[in-house]
Amino acid sequence: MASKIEKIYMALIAMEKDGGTDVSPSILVITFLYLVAVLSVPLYAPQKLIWLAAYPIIASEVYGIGYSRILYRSLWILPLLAIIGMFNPILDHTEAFRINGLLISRGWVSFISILLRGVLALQAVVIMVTLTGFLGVFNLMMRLGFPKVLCTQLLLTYRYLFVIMEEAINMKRARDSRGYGRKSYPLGMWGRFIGQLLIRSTQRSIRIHRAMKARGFSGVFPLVSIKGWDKKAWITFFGWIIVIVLLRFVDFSYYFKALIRN
Amino acid sequence: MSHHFVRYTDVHYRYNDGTEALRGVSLEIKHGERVALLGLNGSGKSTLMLLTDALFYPTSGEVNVGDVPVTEKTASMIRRSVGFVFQDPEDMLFMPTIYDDVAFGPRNMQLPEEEVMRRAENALTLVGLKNMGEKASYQLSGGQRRSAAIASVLSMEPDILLLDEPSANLDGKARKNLIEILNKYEHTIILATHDLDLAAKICHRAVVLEEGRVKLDSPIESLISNSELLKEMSL
Repeated sequence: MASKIEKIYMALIAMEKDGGTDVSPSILVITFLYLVAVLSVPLYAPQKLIWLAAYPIIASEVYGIGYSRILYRSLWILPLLAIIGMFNPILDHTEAFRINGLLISRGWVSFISILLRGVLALQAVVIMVTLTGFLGVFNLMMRLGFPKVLCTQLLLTYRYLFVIMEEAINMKRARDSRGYGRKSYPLGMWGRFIGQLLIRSTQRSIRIHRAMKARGFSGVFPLVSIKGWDKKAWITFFGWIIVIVLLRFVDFSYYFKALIRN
Repeated sequence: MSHHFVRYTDVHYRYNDGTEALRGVSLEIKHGERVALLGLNGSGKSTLMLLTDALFYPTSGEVNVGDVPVTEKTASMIRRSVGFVFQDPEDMLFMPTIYDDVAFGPRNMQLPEEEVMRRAENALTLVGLKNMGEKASYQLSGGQRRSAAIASVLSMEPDILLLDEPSANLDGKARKNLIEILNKYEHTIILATHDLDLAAKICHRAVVLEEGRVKLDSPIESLISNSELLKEMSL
């Protein structure tokens, strides 16, 4: 059975593999604007985020990715978000509203808001990466004028993540094969494991860098072919901008209520 | 045929930890020659290869590729004419798809995208991975990964091909395929290996290194047909 780290590794590889179906620069700008829209929603008004949740659903279906895949991949961030927001309900007891007499504090409201924002932001990023692949994202960033050095650093950091995971998987397999079913290990052993992992991954990175230099790498990743801003890209871009602006600024609940009353 | 020769003149190389990997290697490899570098682990084969591709620089002595001395200043020029297939193909395949890996070198050479595509497709066809370009490296077998690593160097159309233990971890079929690929290559080949049989099928000349020195330099036929000599060379 695959370990957790192998599952994460395979999920990242699968995401990488899916990439490249749409490497139009518009997707990067659309994603950026969506992130701005999500982050601009006040912390104590998470209800406004609900309508913005429509973007990942619509986009994943329009691009044929399937929302279930996007949802599944985005839920991985929930534990991290929970850690980020865990002190809000503890520290902020101010009343926000009551449901059948049950007091809901502003701390809980902001906690929910953090979870929603994080998941929605990640969903948008996952859609972008699924469409372009990480390499595509960094290429798009370079095309849009981000500093090449920054893009290369980000890309190499991302690649180093894979190197660390591959080495960790190899070490784990080697340990498990001689562990006779043992599940836990003393803390000191974990320290040595992590130390070895860093040494091994650094050595491997040096070899990879050497192989890159041998093929002419001089510090900047070469651009891959990317579509320009053709007519279709502009139409797609404006179409999504309209959708995002509507989702952010129009109170659809008002119209729903009106519809129900009538 | 390539017009590049490789000349090593009294080359010494010492690693930072003090290990002396090369202790006065002098050697000349003419253009179009196929040379097998043989010797035990730690004899200096890989170090010599790294120096040839300007990834290391000699502590003393000189390495020349054609008329160009291997220095930091000439490194990019040297790497345009020398292609290096590393021991572990995993170190060479780091892009999302095999095509991107094969196109990595030509893109670094800032060739037009049409030329990049032509070279990548030619190289993939040559190694028998014509329809595998869109696959990720983890989806290939060990032999296919080796072939992809070779393609990623052949796409740069080097004049000199360096191969470090190319037959390591290959099964019989993949090994046979590797020999076919290398025998199609028309330029200079320098092959570091422990695999005498592979060396004999590809190379004409054998250079045996021992503790950083050239112990024997002879036609490969005369080495492999002499069991006493093989024993003496610890091969």
